[in-house]
Amino acid sequence: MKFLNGRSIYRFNGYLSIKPAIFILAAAFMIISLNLCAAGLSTEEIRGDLAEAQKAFQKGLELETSSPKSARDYFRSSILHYRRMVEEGGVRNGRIYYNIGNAYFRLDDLGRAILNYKRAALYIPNDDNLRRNLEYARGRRKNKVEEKEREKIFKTLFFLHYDLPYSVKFLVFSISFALMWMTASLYIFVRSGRFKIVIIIFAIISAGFFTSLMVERINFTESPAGVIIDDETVARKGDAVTYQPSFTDPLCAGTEFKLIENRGAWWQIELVNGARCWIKSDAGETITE
Amino acid sequence: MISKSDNRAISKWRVIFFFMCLILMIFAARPLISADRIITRTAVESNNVYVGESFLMQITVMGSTDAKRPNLDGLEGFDVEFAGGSNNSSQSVSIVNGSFSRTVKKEYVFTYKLTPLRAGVLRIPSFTIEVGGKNLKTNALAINVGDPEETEDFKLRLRLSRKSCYVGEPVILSVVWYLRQDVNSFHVTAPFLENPDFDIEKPEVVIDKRKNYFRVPIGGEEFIALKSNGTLEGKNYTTLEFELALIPKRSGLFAISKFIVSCETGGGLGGDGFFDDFFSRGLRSRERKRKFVVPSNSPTLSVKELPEEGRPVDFSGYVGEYRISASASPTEVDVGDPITLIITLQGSDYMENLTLPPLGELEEFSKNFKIPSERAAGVVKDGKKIFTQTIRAKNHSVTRIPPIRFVSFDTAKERYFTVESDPIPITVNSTRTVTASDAEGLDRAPEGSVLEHWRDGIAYNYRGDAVMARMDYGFGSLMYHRWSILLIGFPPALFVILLVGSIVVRSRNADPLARRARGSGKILRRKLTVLVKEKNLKREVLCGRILEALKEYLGSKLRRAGSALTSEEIKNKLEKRGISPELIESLLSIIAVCEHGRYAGATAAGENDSGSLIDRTKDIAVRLDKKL
Repeated sequence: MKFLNGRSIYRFNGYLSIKPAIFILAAAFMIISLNLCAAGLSTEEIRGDLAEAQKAFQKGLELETSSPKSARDYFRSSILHYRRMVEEGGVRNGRIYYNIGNAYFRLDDLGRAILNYKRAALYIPNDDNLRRNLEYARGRRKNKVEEKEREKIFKTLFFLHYDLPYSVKFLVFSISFALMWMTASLYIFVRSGRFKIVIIIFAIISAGFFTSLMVERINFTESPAGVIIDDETVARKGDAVTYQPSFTDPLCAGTEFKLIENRGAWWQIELVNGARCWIKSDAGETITE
Repeated sequence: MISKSDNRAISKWRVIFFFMCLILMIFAARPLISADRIITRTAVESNNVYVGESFLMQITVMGSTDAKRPNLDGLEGFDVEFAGGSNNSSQSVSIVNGSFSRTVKKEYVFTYKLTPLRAGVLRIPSFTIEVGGKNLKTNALAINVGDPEETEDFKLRLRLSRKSCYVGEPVILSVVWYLRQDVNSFHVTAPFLENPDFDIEKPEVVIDKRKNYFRVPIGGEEFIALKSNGTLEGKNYTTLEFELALIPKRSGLFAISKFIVSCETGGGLGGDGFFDDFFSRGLRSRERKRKFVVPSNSPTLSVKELPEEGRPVDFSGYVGEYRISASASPTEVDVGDPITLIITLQGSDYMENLTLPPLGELEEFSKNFKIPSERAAGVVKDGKKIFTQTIRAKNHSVTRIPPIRFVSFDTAKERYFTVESDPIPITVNSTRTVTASDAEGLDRAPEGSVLEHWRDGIAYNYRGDAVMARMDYGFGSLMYHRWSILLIGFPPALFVILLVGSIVVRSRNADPLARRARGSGKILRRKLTVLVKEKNLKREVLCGRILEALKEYLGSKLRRAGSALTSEEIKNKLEKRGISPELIESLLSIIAVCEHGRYAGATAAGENDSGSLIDRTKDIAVRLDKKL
């Protein structure tokens, strides 16, 4: 490499005795590491964030009565550490979202609390604490949106589809599917009418649960669930503020919905009572990050 | 020695190094700079509006999202409706010329819908807004508000069902909007609805499915308006009409202040108009958008005081003709037991504000019954107002629930009248019911309170390594789990293997002769090979064993007993199988030689070389195997 009148710079023993390429690479590495080191936190850094988050949350609890303002600062700090673990450390599990939900609940941010509880429910749907906290947070919402009658009837008729967690349904499907084929294998050697009935029963069970899993999966991808996170947002009849409000009252934080259509700055959503309306996209968040 | 040009090179690299450090420092300091600045800004949709024309006002807090909704009590001359708050924060990372920069924007916006109530220059003052514990001031604004004007195409009329009434007597106010143009959206302002001298009720609208109705929101209330056609001043209009019931609280002459409707027309052929299903779509023109603000007339209502003459002392101010009834359950009780008393009032269309007659002030009630100080609110259902009250008899001498009086003023007859419910006979027992626990000799079981879950509050946080786990959810993650693969993949695979195996085994077992035929060539060749190895065999023995092996082979192939096959039979069968005559001839000649050798022994003529005979037999067997 030739520089400056054909002389090679690394001939000098003065201030700059390294190759310029190495220097540039080192500088670039510094910049990139400063900016992007967070893109993949090490296990030690994640552990450190977890310890800080737990410490801040505990401190917040201690100060909640004596100094509510300081307590809120600690809860916010706790959330920041947990969020860093999720966003930059790639840590995603039910318990971390549950903890984030608890911290938001302490901050009276009901929308984000419910949002994170619902995220946690994707991973740990059977967790008792999660179920209770989610129900309690739901009970404190200002909006009471009654579930539509059709949905209630469906939930009664297809209670297994609605009540069983996804993982349990998958387990039932897997076991019944396996038993169906194993019984069919036996039937090759022992041609018994009883085996035939058992095969049909297992086939029905596995087909039913497979259908349920597919329906849930399609719903999950086509119409993801979401939660209103703004304190109050006016739901409108169209995707502009000039449209009339859809309801007499604004939608309050924690109102749950299904995202029907995404038009960038505006979302069309469906509430649990079946009513559809438009909200600004930054007024809510979907549970899939 | 360092030359001048080398010095220049060093200086240049120093400069580059310096600037890179500077860039890093700026990059590191940027979040701190942006985090500290908090600015508030008030902005309005329009500074020139009409009375009754709504517009949006936004208060933006930049630099923080921890803002509390400001108190707008100081905002005079406007009807204020909070339209929501939204967090507009965002974060972005950009790379420009190799330099990374992160922009963090924190912003919270409060949106209000303001409607001017009077003309002139109205001032939006500076408000105090609490942001992160600090009080900040917003900027003040001035709004020019003009008087609305009626046009040929839009007119608004108020009509009262009567010009005078008594205090407490409902009067129907009809609001009719006359239109001769399509409108995209509209907004009705009615400051009169806030008038403290009147109670405003919504008359029940009986929906006729053949007609068109629209919801008209006014100041947080919603009225059902009927769409039809009408004539005003000799011109035909489409009308939108709804009604309100005004119940005056005091006497005097009142002017019903103007209702104002603001609407927007035009705007092309788009299908987003409010009245798209109201007016025909095809008539919508490509004219530009125009806004109209139309005032109504202002009718007057004379409210008369109720006459003093003949007014009963327990008159509560209700006007109209009422009926009252009561029922009680149970009617046989012990002293102190609760009795549920249901009182039903009917007669007026507007009973929302009707309260229960004060039972405690009735002498017989206060003497014989314990009555809770709280009065039941009552529920309006099917044109009746139903009050449910719990009362308890004070002593066993009480024999009835006395009649309940209700006094009202009948405006048609212009006199007061009183209605009473029928008395309800009851039986009050003085003795307490004896239960098993009162019987002597029976120990009372210790009574403990049932431990119940405390439903308030949330549960504890999770700790430990489980919080750091990386998990997946959904069908994909479950599907690729090793147990899932085993459960879903292995049994069908096992089934397929077993099924194929059983089919193979069964097909073999189904035709044993075919199996025997397939293996016969191999057996023949093996037997011939053994014969080659066995030296010094007598000719008759050798021929006999070749013949035996050959016949066994042919027997297997032709599905017959080999020993019973004759040369003629072999020839016929092979010909039927399409074997060439030359090959048949060769085969038969070998059989003939072998038969001859077997029975004639060493004296027999023919091939003396046993090896040649075996080779020929082998060759024929191979050729036959290919055909059979």
